Formats: sequence, C-alpha cells, structure tokens
Amino acid sequence: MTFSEKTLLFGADRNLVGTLTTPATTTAKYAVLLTNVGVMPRCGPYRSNVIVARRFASIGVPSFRYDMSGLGDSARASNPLPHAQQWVLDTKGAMDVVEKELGIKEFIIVGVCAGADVAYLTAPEDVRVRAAVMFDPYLYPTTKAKLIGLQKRLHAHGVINAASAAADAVVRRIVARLPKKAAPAGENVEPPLKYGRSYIPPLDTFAERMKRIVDGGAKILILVSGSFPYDHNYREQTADNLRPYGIADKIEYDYLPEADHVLLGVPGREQFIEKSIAFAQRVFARS
Amino acid sequence: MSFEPVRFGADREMVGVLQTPDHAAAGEKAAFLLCKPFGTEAVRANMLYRALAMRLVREGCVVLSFDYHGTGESLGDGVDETLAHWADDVVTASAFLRARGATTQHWFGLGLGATLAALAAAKSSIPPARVVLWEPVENGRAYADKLRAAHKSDRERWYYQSWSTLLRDLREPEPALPGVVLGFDVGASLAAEIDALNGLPLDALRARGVAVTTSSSERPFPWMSNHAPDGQQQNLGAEVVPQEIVRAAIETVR
Repeated sequence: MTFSEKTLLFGADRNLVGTLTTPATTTAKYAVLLTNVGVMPRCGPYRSNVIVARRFASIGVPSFRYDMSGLGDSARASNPLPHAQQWVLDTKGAMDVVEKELGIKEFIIVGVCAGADVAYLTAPEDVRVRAAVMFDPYLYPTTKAKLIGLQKRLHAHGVINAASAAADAVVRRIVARLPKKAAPAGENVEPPLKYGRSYIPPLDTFAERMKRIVDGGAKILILVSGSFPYDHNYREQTADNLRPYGIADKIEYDYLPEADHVLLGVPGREQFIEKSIAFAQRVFARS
Repeated sequence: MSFEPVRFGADREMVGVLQTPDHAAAGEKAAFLLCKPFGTEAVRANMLYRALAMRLVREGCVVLSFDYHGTGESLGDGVDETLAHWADDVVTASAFLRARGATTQHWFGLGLGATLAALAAAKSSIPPARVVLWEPVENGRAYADKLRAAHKSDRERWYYQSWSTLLRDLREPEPALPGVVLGFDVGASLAAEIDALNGLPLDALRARGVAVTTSSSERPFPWMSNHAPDGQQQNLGAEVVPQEIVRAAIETVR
C-alpha cells in the first residue's frame, strides 16, 4: 500500500470528522480537500472521493476528505451559522487540521456539486485555497444552450411532449414570479437545501465572486457534466457566460458530456479524476 | 455521549464510529452493531444509520457503525470483496465491540446488511443475543435484478433520456454482474455469491439461541432507487429516516 489513512476529529467543537490520506512518500507542498456531495457522506457518491484521494496519494499528494457540520459522521455545530458561513468555517477548520498534521499551507478543493459551492464560497475567504476544481457548479443557460436544449428535447421526446414540457416550464416561471407571503418576523427564512443547494446566485454575483477568486491568484477549473442537456450543452458555454466579466480566459473549463452529475458512470468518473489530477499538477508545478 | 472514530481489523482494516452514552448505563442495555447495506443503499441510508445510532445511544446503548473492508471509508477495493469476507468483517467488528466491554450485543442490518448480519451470526463463535433484520436480501437473483434496474433508472434520471436512447447515443453497456452496477464494481466472486443467495439461516440462528426480529415496511423505502429523497439539510432525518425502523430497533432494548 502506498498510503496510510487516519480519521481525525477537528473543528472548534471537535464535532467534525475527516479522513487524512497520506502517501508513503511525499514532497508535495499542497493537499487536496474533498467534502460532501449534496448530503452524501464524505466518501462521496459511489465512493468517488475515496477513489480521488487514493489516486492523488499514488502520485504523492495527500488529501483530506471531511464531513461538514451535520453531514456524514460530523455532528452539528453547537452554535450553527447559516449554512454558507458554516461551510466556510468548516473548510477553514479542515485546512487548519491538515496544516497541523502535515505542515501544508496550500490547498486545492476538488468539489462536486455542493462541493463546488464550497470552493466558490471558501476560495475568496482564505488565501490557502490556491486552486479549485468545480464539477457542476451553478449553471447559466445561454441562448445558444437553450436552442441546443430545445433540439435535444425534440429529438428525445418528440414535438408534443417537448411542447408540453415547455408549457410546464412557462407556468412554473409565472408562478415563481407571483408575490409571496412574507415570512413572519424572526422566522428563519433561509430557503431549504435541495440536493445540497439552496439557491442559484444570479450570474452577475457568480461572476463577480469568481473574479475575486482569480484576481486573488487562485486557479479554477470548471467541469460540467452531461446531466443538464437542456441547460448546459456545449464546451464554450462557460466561456460565453464569463466573457462579459473579463475572466473567460482566466479560468480553465471543459464540458464532459459522458460524465453524469453524481459520477455514476465509470468513464465519466475517470475523465473527472484525470482532469482534476492533471490540473492540480499544472497549477502546483507553476507555483 | 462520546463519539469516537475507530479503526480495527488487523488484515482487513475497517473504519467505524463508536458512540457511548454519557452516563454509565452502558452494559445495562445491549450494545448495537449496525451493519450497513451495499453500495448506493449504504450511501442513501447514511442518515438512517446516523439517526438510529443517536436514538439508541439516548436509550443507553453503546453503538458501533462501521464500513466493511473495501467499502465507504474503510481501506480496500470493493471489487475484491465477497459476502463471506463481509460476514467475517461483522464478526471482527463484534469482537472489537466486545473488547470495549459490550458483552451483550444486538446486530441490526438493512437490506444486504441484514443478510450479512444473519450470515455472520450463523458463523460467529460468540453469536449476538438478537439480530434485527430489516428487509433482508433473501433472493440474490431478485436483488441483482433490482440493482440492474436501479442502475438504468439512475442513468436515465441524470441524462433525462430513456435507456434505449442512452444505449444508442452514449453507447452505454447493459449493466451486468459481475461488472459495474449502480456505480460499484461487483467482482466475479461477489456476483456468484449473490446469484446463489437463496434464503437465510434463520432456523440455525434460533437453534443457536439468537433471537430473530425480521421486518419490513408496509411501503418499503426505495433505498436503491433514485426516487429516494436525498434529503434537505434543515430536515435531515424526518425525510429519510423511516421511523418504524428506528422504533423496531429500540423496542428490542426496552
């Protein structure tokens, strides 16, 4: 075996649980952070985080996969913050424990779905995050994507079913715009998380934060799976989204139509892992 | 309550979580060993096992939940594993729990975890006082069919395409055992064991003095299906923790 693993308790309340994977020999100056995908435990869907951790270990890079407060084996914080703040705090705690154990001060977050949101939230808040792979982060359909999506709908479902789905979407959009009853004062109005996500920020907000991240010197790789064929469906879509904000050429991106959102399919999972490792090696070879 | 991540198993290291009540009621009540189901079911049942452990600890029970070798957080690669190995892992986990002072044990399992608890109880030199088997897998071929169907359903869900379209456009292979089914690589030995699985040794367990509780939900929770709710953070537990399962386990120690 080329690595060892140990389970650690960490965080201010020692309520958080993580697994540190350490290669038998390492000269790496960085470590990989892996966390929950939605509400799945830290091993990841289909054990994908475990596979990623051990693949990085095979090239001499340590990693730490951890459950955030209230997920997997981690207990809730004694004084829980709104989840976005809590995720940042938990991730800072994860970096603290790796720094204490291995002396490493530079990290790459490899985040899938909600894990990508963790990178998006934490990277501007902590200079130790030097890079992030964001797999299926927030998605923003362009006009071109919508047209391709319509073509795909027609191909997959036929004209009548596609028209019916389009009509449903219009009704949902109208209902969503109707005025909503205000929440009583003092009530927690944070929207519920679905599949680990509570909301999609407007593109302006997303791009502004991404700009902060890259202007701070962190490197980003955005990977998008083929699970959203009507919303994100061509390779340059990420660049088309970010070009108006002047950061399209500062972010690496790719479209992986064979991969699915939870990495169920093995070929897509392998693409994700290989691209993540290659990106990390490129980023940290430069630094 | 104390919460301790643990590692045990000399040749087949496993990772678990040992939870102990605050007040030393431990020993007065049976300790619980929680045996997880296989693959995606284990991931989707994570919140059930977590909630069940917390409730049992509140009842005064010491609780150990763990990942079999080659699964979850434990070392090893799933493709090398077999039902026989995993049943041995249950015995190893029980010995670890006994070494921590838990002499009277109940073993709980869901799905294939229930099957493993039963198989392990039949071979363990020190059997548990009771097994609580929730929807155990008794017919391996039917279980394999469910795995394959769930695999197709998940792929359809994540591509918004029918299976026939996926076969054509993405050149998807038909899921088969042995092979990768529902995201996990099932090796030849495990596939053969699943195929041969037909019934559980419940009479043998009773003959050994093991009390047996078998049960199922009136409307079984779709642990394997992509229609199982993945849960909402503010509502974890209520949505994905069928209370009848928790009650059934607790009743055995009251």
